[in-house]
Amino acid sequence: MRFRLNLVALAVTSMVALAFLFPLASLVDRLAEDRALTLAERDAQLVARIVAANSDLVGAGTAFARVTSNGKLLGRDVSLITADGRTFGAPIPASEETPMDVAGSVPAEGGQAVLVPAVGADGQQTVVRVFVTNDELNQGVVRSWLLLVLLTVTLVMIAVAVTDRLARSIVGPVEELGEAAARLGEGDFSTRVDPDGPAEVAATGVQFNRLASEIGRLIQSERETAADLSHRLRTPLMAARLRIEQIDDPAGRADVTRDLDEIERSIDHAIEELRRPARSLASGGTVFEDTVRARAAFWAPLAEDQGRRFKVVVPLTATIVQVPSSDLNAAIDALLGNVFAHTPEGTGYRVEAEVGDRAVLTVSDEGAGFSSDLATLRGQSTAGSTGLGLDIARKTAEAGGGSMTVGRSASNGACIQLSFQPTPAN
Amino acid sequence: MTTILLIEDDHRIRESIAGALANQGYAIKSEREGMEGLKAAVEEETDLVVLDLGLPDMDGMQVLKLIRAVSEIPVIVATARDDQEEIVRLLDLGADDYVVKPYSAKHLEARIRAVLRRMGGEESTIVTVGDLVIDQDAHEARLDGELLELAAKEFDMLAYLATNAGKMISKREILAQVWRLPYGGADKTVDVHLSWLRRKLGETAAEPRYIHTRRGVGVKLVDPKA
Repeated sequence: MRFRLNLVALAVTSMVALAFLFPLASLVDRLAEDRALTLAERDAQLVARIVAANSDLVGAGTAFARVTSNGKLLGRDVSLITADGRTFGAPIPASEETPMDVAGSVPAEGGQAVLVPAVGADGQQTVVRVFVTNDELNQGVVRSWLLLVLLTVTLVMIAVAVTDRLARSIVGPVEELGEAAARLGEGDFSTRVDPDGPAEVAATGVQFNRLASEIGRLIQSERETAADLSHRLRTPLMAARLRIEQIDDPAGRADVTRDLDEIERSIDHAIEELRRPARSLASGGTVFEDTVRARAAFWAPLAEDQGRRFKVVVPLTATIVQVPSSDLNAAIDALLGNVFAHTPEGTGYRVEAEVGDRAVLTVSDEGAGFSSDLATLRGQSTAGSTGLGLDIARKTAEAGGGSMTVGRSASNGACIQLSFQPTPAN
Repeated sequence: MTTILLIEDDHRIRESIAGALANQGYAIKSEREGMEGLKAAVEEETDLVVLDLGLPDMDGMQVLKLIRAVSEIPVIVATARDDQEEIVRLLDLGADDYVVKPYSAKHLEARIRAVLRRMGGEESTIVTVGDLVIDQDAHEARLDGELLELAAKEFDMLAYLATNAGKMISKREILAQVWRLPYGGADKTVDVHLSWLRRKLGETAAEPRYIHTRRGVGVKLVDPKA
């Protein structure tokens, strides 16, 4: 924006300066010519008066010779031409015809000739001719033109500098606003701007601060609600736990404990879900490939300890998906955790990330596969767990604009795909 | 006899915990409100406070701040929130330790013992098992003099195993003591961290040196030269 404003200033001031520059240059040229011709005319009139004061042509010629020096007066060629065609003083090109009754300047070879007619006392018609060279006619013009160009460039530069300063006062607050918006997008809800600049930009800054406050307040409210819910749900659960610990019958205690474990996992999941919107708002997105690579690496030592063959295929790109990194970590861990929890040691698995229109993560294993795909899709396991891990994975994918699909791998094992909508690069 | 003050609004928890701690030989006082608890903590002879954060009359964090303003008495906070932000805030406010609800009486007892040992200066912060030296204060572990680069949970697990060296520890106990999840957590969380720990100690499950696992029982840390 600042560059464009400077460009506009440059274009406008350049056009205005050029509009003045050409007429001025022409005027300077004309003035220089007029000055040279005026001086020449003054000399010619002086000589003409002296010539006219003589009674005959011989006297006039003698007087002319006295006034001039070998046909030169003040460095200019001066000639006296008589009506019968004789010429005194500086020679005149043969091709030039000198009118005897014209006063003024006429073009001549290499410059201009200033003519002043003079009539002697005897009525003899003569003409005094002063030759002005082109150099004299253009004397000082180039210098004046250079000065004009320099002045124009200086004025344009000053205009651009002043515009830049003004542009900065507009663009600065807008840039600050943009940076603050980016920080807000990345989850920094304490970010504020100092409303500054033109009235419209300052008003936008005030509104931005109000918006940031409101988002922060909502997030805080979400967190407090989650905290309150945690307390209200977990406290009675704990009381139940403590009571169960006092049951004497070990078998009965184990049964009730199992049921309570199930309830607790569901409550944890519900609390986690409640926290999700606040986390999503606080997230600036996650690099899909890096996260897949990191989680696959995290599980690798356990795979090695358990003698599992595994392959990780992740492209060397960096695609942003709009889910919090903690959620994407949890989703990938849920898929890999399932492989470790539900397949025997030694069972191989594969983790593959592909990025195209969608960012797709595929985790497949060489185990026995799911006994009921539909049950798993609902987040209910048939393998002794709660299925909440897969539910988290599914919800994370959906929050990221994608979905989860469950199928079979090439070796008839389980295969789960999570897809996400990639964020276009800025 | 060590006197424990239990500030907890839920009478079922209060009674159960008080009973379990009394059975372990502690003298128990209990209060259901923050203000009463604060008075008891400051005015009466108390060795340790177990403070619940969700109190009916005032926020538990406020009670913690007020206790810290006037006393150095050890405080273990019981919270229903397990997010890191909350835990860091609690510790910064002066809590000596924390337990996350739902916690078991045994879990709380273990935490009380650990805090009292620390307060009494009985517990050495440096534990040595063979060539493995763990400095809990410095949060550093060295093997053959070489500093190990451990993640927070790996260090905590190693420190816990080292303080119980030679003893078979169940994965549930590790979840309770290290992850503070006495009733569960991700099935393979402990396994994967153990694998990382093994790798950093330069051993494998097939050829263990320090970390020995018995399927279905638990894990123990031993001195390989012993």
